[in-house]
Amino acid sequence: MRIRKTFCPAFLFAFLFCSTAALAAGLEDFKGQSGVINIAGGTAHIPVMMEAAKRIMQFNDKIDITVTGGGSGAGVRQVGEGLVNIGNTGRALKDSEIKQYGLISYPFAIDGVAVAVHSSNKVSDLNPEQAQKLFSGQISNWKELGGDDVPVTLYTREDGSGTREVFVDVLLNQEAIDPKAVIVNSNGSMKISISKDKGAAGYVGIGHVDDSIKALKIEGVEPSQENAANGAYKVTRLLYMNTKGQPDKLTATFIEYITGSAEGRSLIEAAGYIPYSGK
Amino acid sequence: MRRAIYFFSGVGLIGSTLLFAAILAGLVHTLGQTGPDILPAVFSLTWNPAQGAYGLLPMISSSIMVALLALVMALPTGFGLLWSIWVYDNRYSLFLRNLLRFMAGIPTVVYGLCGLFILVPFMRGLGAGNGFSLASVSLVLSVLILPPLVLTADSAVHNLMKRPETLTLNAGALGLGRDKAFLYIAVHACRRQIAAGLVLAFGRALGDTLIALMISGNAPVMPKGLFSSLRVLPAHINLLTAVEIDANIELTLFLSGFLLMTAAVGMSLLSRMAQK
Repeated sequence: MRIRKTFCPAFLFAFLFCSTAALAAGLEDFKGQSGVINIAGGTAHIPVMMEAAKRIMQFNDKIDITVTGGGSGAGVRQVGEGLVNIGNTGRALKDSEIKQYGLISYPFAIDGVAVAVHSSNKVSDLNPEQAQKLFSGQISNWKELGGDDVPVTLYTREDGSGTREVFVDVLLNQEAIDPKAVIVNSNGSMKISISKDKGAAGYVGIGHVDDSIKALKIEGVEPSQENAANGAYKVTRLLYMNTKGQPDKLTATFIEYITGSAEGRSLIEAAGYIPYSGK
Repeated sequence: MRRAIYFFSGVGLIGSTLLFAAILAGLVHTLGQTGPDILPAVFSLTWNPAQGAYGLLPMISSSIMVALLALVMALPTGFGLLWSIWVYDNRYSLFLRNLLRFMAGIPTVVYGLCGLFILVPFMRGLGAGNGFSLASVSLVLSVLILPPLVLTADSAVHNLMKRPETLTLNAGALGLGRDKAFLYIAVHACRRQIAAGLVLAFGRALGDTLIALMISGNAPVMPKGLFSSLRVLPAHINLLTAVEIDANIELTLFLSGFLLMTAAVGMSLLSRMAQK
């Protein structure tokens, strides 16, 4: 009994010590710093920002980080007017915005989107015209695309979803998705719905592609992490952090943590994106 | 004791008033941002924010349709359950009553999950569209609303038939069996509580978010039939609160919230009135 009593706290302490030591890789730069970082803007960025904020604040409780959404537009406006330190956008800044506010952009992740169908579907390749016809409701049966005689069920994401935005802007060239399409509200439920429906056609973030669904090639290009990173696969966008002029020391450390550290890369991957290495 | 009642009813009253006021304030505030010119677009039939169409009417009518159909579907089952509980007044009735109480505590996400994994593929297999439909949602909701529907009536019948046993005894003296006593006397005498149960059940079906979100398909269009996809108001709010939205969309959210809140208050008042 006696041994256990002393052993337990000792073990716990050792465990805590080890885990703190392990977490510290990449967080070391925040040592001795203090202050506040306010972040606002693109919703696609939020999972990465929140996780980073949590880890940094756990590592150093003198640092306070707030993360809010609001969209790319709000991100530009708020950072431009000095309300926040970092404004996130899911698009490159317009020249007018750079000129008006003097903003500096830091791209950190690639958000790619893949067309997804049921794993038994015989179709494996689409070109943009076919995708536009399919998702606008002009193709109602898979046999029109060379597949089995199964009616098409369209699945899409809710208005304002970043994944939907990339998909519609880049692949569908802004062609409207059939309003009768089934709407699901996450990559997860998209995958479940598609895996249960032989006639399904939907789309998921590339980071979410797995064996439960079949991701289609676009003009012969596989929607893989590598192809998205090297630019061969086109249905992608970059996620940016933006600051007004040169950032202060703490904000700069944060940006470096996201874009430059191994831990930052793992956070980006965990959120389903591809770390952007800069080209 | 009395103080405690005053205190807690005060807290409840202030809480619900604040909630209502918050939604109203949000509504007025966003309306201030968008201007009243947007209202015709909000009360239209097309939802397509990308092209400036913010029609909420499909969602409003879908909500009412779903709840009404669920109620219609739940009525025969509900009546059958009440009948089984009271006419065969034995341990199986007790089991049924306890089952209903248990059902009242099942999280709606469980219903939604069963709907998504079992009912939707089943309906699709029948050739009834893609399975995400008015019929699917109403069917699952009709199960969800059985407890409020039956238990409200059950407690009224209980008061009438069990304590004191006079009704059962008098009916027996007149030569009425349990079935006739239940059907002709108890149901008639408890019609107000039964009506109150109906209203409560309708309100429950109208306000449910998760089931509709998971198996309605959420298409923001007027449903063309039993097997077409639709979007209800609570699901509309849920779908659009997590994403980038402009003031016009925000207005439709507050309006949805306001309508649902008003409906809830209306249902509650109606059920109170029915019981008097």
